[in-house]
Amino acid sequence: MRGALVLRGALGAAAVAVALLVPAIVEATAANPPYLQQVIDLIAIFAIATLSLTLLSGVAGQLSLGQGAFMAIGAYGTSLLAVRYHWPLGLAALAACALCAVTGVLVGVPALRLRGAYLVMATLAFAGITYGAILNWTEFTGGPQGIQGIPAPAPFGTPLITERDFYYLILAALALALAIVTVVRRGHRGLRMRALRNDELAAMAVGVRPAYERTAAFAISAALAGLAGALLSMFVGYISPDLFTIDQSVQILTMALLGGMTSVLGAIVGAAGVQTLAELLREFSEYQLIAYGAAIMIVVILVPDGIVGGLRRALARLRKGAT
Amino acid sequence: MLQYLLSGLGIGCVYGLVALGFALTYQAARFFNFAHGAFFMLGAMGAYALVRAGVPVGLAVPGAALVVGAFAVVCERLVFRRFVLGGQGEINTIVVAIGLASIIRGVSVAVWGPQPQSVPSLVPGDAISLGGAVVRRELLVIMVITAIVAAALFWLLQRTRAGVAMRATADDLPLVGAFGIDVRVVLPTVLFISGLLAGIAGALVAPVFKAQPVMDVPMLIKGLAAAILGGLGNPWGALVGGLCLGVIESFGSRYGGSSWADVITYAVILVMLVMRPEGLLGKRTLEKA
Repeated sequence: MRGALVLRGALGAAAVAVALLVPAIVEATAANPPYLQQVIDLIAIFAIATLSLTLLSGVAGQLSLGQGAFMAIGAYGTSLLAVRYHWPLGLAALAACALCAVTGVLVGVPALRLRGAYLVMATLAFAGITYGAILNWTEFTGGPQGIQGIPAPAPFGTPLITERDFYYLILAALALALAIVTVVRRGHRGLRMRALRNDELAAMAVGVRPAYERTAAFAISAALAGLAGALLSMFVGYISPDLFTIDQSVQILTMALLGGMTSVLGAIVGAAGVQTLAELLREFSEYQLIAYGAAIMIVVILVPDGIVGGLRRALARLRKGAT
Repeated sequence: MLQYLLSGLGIGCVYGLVALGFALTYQAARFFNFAHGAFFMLGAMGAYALVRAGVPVGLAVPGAALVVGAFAVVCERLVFRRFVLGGQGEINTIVVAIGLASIIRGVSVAVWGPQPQSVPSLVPGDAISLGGAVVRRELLVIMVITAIVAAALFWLLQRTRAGVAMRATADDLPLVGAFGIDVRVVLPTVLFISGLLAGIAGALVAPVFKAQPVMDVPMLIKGLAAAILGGLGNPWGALVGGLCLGVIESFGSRYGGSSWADVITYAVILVMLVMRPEGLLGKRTLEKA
């Protein structure tokens, strides 16, 4: 038991070290370091978006096809506040995340009556309305042209310009997101959420309030997706509605399923897998679609708990065989 | 006014046909077929491919519908059955259908290209003037065919043993087995009819809007909205829901501009799900987990 704990600590420390060293490794080995670093930055941003679904679906058991819409609110909130109302960027991002949490409550409360497929459809409709609003409300959101000239963040006075500088900001945000999801999952709230997911009646019998826990899950998840959207808008410097279509929500779902929603690592693995596929097949969007579809079907049919879940089971089997 | 009503009803028939197929699979197996929009798109692309291969339009439309129906049966056998009968839960079933739809769209783009393809009209000629309103001939044909298909389906579901079996499986899958109805026969039949309906709708719409692979998701959402509007447990509700949705959209774009039509559709879904999940024609039942 003690050995396992030490091993976990060592693995964790090694992971942090590797994460911090990524830009140096990229610099030393890649043929085109800025490009590879950009891909890694995007992976980290989408890992945050995927974590929002890990929390909502993996812990609280509510599947959503609306995470792309929360990303959109985070991105547009940050951009509009910063570009049009000249708010400091950090404050704008914070306000946008708060707005997402509020929206999460607004979506979560009426969705309390809905389960399973009905909830999927309601969140899908929410994503469609959000997309339609940012596309058509031209005076406010810029319509199809979107918003340009989003400033680069400058946490220490000098603006972050290179992909490498950005990486550390995104990494910090990812660490924060990982911490939030882990704390919720491991803590009492996560216990209550999982109890509700597994048996609502039994959970209510021991004093869990379904409405409260489900709404909380929606709010936290929405804020995390909003954070990913805020980072994306700062990183790209330009946002438009086509970043936040239904396909974006489906892609986040694909990432979560591919990696597996039973652990927070799954979000990172899934985001890395899907983003790598997307980059490899960049020129052939039709093959990208086929690859996504095939990935979804293979995972759901063969390893319903995703790559990380599957690996864990394989490891457990190995360990059992060894003793 | 009449103009908007008629064009709304015309497009509403298409929504109704799509929603009818969607509601059928839901009614028979509590199965939300998120690949249904892809079936619709295959109907349109199939009509285009057949016409290009030299088949007359009059044969291309039923031909495409039959091909889609057969394809739906293949999908049922290879993919859906293990989820629907395996008790895998509706979420996994939805997700696997989304994956399948993604593959279908990707293959369609690879085969036919992403650009819209025009398909010749079944009934060439100028639009017809009806009591002051001008209506395209294609829309009238769509209305007539929808009426015929709906009548045939009504007879099948209400008057034949197969139809009763299809409606019964929804209520109690194991019990139905005890009455000697083989679910492994009912399910492919339902998928065939469902695919056939989506295929007809796609093939009929192709001359009006052109055929292209990206028409799948928008139509899935229209079908969903129509089915939810009318009541998922009731195929006739789906048809009525489709007609209502078409008219709502038609008048909505008259007053709000056509770009908001999709937002109206989504709003219909959201409002219905929250206020009246059983739909306009549905029976009020307790939905547990």
